Amino acid sequence: MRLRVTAPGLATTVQDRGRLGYEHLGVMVNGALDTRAAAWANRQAGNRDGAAVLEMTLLAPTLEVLGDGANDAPRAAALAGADLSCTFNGQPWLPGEVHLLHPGDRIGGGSARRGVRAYLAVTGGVDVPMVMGSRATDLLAGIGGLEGRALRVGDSLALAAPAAEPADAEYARFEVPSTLLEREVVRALTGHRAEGAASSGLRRLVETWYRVDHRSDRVGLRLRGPRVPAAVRGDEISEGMAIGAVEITSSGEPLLLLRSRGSIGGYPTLAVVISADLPALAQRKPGDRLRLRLVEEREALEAWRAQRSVTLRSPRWAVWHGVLAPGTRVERGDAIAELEVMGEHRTLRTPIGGRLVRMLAENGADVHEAAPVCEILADE
Amino acid sequence: MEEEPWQRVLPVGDAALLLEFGDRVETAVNERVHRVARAAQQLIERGELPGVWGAIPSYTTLLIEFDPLTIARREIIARLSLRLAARQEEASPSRRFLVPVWYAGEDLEGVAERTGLSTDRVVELHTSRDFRIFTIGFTPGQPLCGVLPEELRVPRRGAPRAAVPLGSVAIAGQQVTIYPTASPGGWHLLGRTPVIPFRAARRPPVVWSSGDLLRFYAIDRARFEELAAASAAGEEWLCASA
Repeated sequence: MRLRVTAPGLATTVQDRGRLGYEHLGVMVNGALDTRAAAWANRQAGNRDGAAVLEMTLLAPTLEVLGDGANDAPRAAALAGADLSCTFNGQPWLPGEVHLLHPGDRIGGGSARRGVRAYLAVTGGVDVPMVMGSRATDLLAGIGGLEGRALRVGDSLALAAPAAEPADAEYARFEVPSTLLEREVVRALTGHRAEGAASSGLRRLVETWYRVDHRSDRVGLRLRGPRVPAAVRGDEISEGMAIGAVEITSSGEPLLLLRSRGSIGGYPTLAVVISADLPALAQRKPGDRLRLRLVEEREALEAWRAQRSVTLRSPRWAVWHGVLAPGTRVERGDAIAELEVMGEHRTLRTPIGGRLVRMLAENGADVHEAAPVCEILADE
Repeated sequence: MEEEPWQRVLPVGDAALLLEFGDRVETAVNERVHRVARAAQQLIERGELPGVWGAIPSYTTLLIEFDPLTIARREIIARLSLRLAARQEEASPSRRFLVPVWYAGEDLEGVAERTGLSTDRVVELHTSRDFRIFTIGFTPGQPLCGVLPEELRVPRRGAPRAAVPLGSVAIAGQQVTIYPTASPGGWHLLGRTPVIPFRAARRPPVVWSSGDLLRFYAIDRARFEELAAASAAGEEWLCASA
């Protein structure tokens, strides 16, 4: 099965969790900007969180599902993130909904109703060559994804064969994450260069409502509003820049760095957006309001833990026999329990990879349908 | 235990830390940065820093990126310190790359004017010394080098170019660089090199490493085009001497 592009949309790219481990060579991380929405789309399509998806920006592409004689059996496609007025065979397709793809189906899009970036995951994932350990498109270096570029009319994307699964595979249910599409206030920690004269700049930075400038892209969000004074001394030595860093340029303009940022920069970092709020930045569009609120590191870590932690629920009534100890690392598809129903045992598997934090169901006890059975800290 | 090679440890957001080794661009400080960066890289590769996914050495600092739910800052520092105490990392010997440049850059005349030098003298100053690669970054394979002699220093351009031609050899302040991709840039362009610093499919993907030396030499347009064609055909003609 393949996806043929009949209209490319705006900056539609293949993304996964990013190209990690090469930043010392100047290679950017990239990957889905709204990691949370991409993970949710993948979970619903039966993929690992970091499988390759299509990232669509403001204007969704038009895609046609083609049979190619191999792996043409229907497979699930899930949409998550922004609401770009997508359609499935002409009918509205809302984020969070899953459709089964057959050759001949058509996926379309209209205008952006909420948010900026939507993610389309298909069972098996988009099949483009791995480049330095990742399928993510790096538009600046021109590597990864489809020939290192955004999609064009006439492109044809192969879909990887779905992973083989046991016929009776039964998965625990997972929670639907709450939306981050309309968060106007993002939380940040004080930056390591907000010392001395720059501390008044930091005060200005967090007291101001900004608007997202139209020059924003995957590298960063530029903020329009009052300039931040006295931040740049002029003799800064370039250093590694963290994802989420809020730099102040020499004209006093704040620049929030996203996952396609250059590895090294020379402007001072006055604040750093917390990990849990990075996905929200991916959904702010030019003209949207945005404000930073300083928080303590404890709040940042609690929010990050809450965002990554997923409570799995039982798919049905059964007697529970857990097979894993807390602390165990699991991959999607690993057995977490035996469910005993009327004397028969069936293996229950995790739909999410990560670390098993705790069991919530007791061995030998009844669990009801939708009862919480364990908590998993999903992989980043 | 020996004193730590860094001066300060600064938290950067909730998922990174910055080790600061000094506040001046100089070889001794930068060598300490890369010694610790190599140790970190080895620990990461051997799975001994679980949760750490990135390390970016620069002139005087090393940024370490991690998942705070897997590892804490003090644990990273402790493991790095242990490793450094247990094993003295050898500074890898610098290699020296002879890098051909066709000196016909858009800003060559402008730099000559601003410095009061002739264009020949600008080229002479640029080709008569080794430049150390202090770090690689901003774009893939881009060497950030120094140190330019005082008489050749000019501040960045007021308005950055939207697209600097690929292979441009450029200067700003005390720094020298090569743009491996056509990217935006605010530096002064002296010329172009046919060297391709980064190829994703090459092992290793970047021809040089931090700590290596670049020595530029002038070529004419015909030779530039010849070498550029060889590069485009995938030929690896750039050699390093010890």
